[in-house]
Amino acid sequence: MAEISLEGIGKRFGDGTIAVRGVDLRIADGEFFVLLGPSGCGKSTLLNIIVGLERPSEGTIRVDGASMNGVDPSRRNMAMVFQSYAIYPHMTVRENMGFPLEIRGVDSEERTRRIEHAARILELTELLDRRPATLSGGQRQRVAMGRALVREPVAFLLDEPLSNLDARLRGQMRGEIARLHRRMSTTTVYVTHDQSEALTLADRMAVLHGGVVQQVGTPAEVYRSPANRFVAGFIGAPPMSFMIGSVSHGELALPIGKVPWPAGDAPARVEAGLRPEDIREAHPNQENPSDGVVFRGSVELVEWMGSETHAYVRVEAGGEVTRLVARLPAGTKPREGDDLELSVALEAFHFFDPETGHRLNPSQGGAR
Amino acid sequence: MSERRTVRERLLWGAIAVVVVVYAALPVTWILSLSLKTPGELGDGRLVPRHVTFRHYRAIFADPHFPAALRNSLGIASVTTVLAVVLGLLAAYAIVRLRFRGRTLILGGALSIAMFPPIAIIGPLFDLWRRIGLFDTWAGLVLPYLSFTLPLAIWTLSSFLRDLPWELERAARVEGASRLQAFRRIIVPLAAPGVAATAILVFVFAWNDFLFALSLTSTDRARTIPAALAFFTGASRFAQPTSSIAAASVVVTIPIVVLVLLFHRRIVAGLTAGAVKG
Repeated sequence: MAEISLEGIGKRFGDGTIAVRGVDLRIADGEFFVLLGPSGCGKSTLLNIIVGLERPSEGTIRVDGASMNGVDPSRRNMAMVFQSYAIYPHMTVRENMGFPLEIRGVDSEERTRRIEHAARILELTELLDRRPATLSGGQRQRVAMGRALVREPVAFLLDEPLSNLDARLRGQMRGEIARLHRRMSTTTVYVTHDQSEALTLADRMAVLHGGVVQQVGTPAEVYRSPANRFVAGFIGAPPMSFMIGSVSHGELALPIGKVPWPAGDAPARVEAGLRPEDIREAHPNQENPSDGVVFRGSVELVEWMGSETHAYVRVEAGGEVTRLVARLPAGTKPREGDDLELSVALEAFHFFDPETGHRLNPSQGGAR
Repeated sequence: MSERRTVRERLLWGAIAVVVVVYAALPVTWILSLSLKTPGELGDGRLVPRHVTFRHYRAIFADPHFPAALRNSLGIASVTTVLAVVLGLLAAYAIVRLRFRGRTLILGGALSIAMFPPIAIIGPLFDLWRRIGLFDTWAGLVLPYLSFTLPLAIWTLSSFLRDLPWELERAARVEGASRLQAFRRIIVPLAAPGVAATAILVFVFAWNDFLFALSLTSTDRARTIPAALAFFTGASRFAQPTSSIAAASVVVTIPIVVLVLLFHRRIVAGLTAGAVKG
């Protein structure tokens, strides 16, 4: 059980590449914290710094207030699950799970008790005497989890634990990880590039890009009010649709229509983003043009998902082509080439400064 | 490329295989045949002896020089192998895992030492060894063998270690193992095939060496088999000891053959380490 805090963490590698820069994070005791970002954003480096496999070039890492800089990974008492599982191929499942205990000098009776306890939780009892080579990917994943569970670590660190599994197993293990965390309530740091894992698992999450933290918050906060253009585009599937418009005379003219824009020091050009679920089919009789935008677009591609339909729509205005994705109810099955009448509520728009990417926060900006 | 071969291709490959096997096995077979022939039939040019006799084998073991040389060879080759593998494994680990200045220099230097012509250092080594008392001792042979086999060991083992997933070791470290514990409990067992392959290569080098053994020894104290064979007199002082030399050659080949048969899969794995991802 521990609170982990990172203060001004930076990491520069020998060849000059900067992996992370100025990272300040406070991970509360018992929290499930997700580090999310595309590959190469520095999230794994950050995890390695927390566990002690990498030394930060600058900054301090603290566990319950005590500085961990220079403390050997073997003395930090953290448990890590690696993307490759890192199961020792020359040991049986039982020996693999017993290794951290054996190294710590836990006697064999206690060892057996804890291994069997963890094996029961993870349904590994039948496999205890097998060798890793004979296990499936999902089973190996469980062994890696089991090796973390037999100890009582101050924190669990998981580095893309599900990315080598097929889709069905991934969903299943995701649920299992969530259940385990609820049961143990040990501080957990989870690294992933998969935004759906982050949204479903995290108590709080940090989005990283280019080694810099872009936003920290609960999944709902990050989803509903992304701090910048990158976060907005990275989170959500299908992704947010973007378009650029210009501001004049208290109005923002977008390719799909005009929205009122309060006078102020807003930039001359504004980038607007729309979540697919905020673009709806317009119902002419219910339409009230004053609190939304209605526009027509032609359907380029339809993805029928069973529970919903994704329509990729093309809008032409003033010689410019804008493409949007709309998430429609499964019952509506537009055909490719059809014209669709769509509507968007004013408060659904997210606005960003196209120069800096920062979120602009006019009153209607996406806060629902 | 098609997996299935045509009949013509298979015949061709079969023929090539037969040629290679005959080419490689004929001299050995001939020596085996010589060692089993009676002295009178030595020159009859037959591959299969008319009368099989084991008297030459009895004779070489009755001669006190041969068992002494066998002991020296086994001892010196074993000591060399153990030292080369242990030192090589530690050096290879450092080269693969640690980032330090001059890493490539060490690897390059090791390689150039292995390329050094041994004949060029025999003279000075002879003088030096006599002066410091290493002449005609086990250590006097183990040292030069080490300097030629250690680079080989470092190269083979480092290419092998490079292929071991680093995450295994990192996992062990996170789980509470010190660097040394992780090395001993995780790296060493996983490197076993590479170690076996390296050990055999080193052992064969030390076992087969003639040049150093001939120049740096003078008595049964340290003379190894290849050198001892050159001084062989055989059972009779009045006849060419052809059969005895042949018998001794067969005896000294046995340990190598046994080693290779025991470990040939691992040797191949070791030699091709790094070629493909398992």
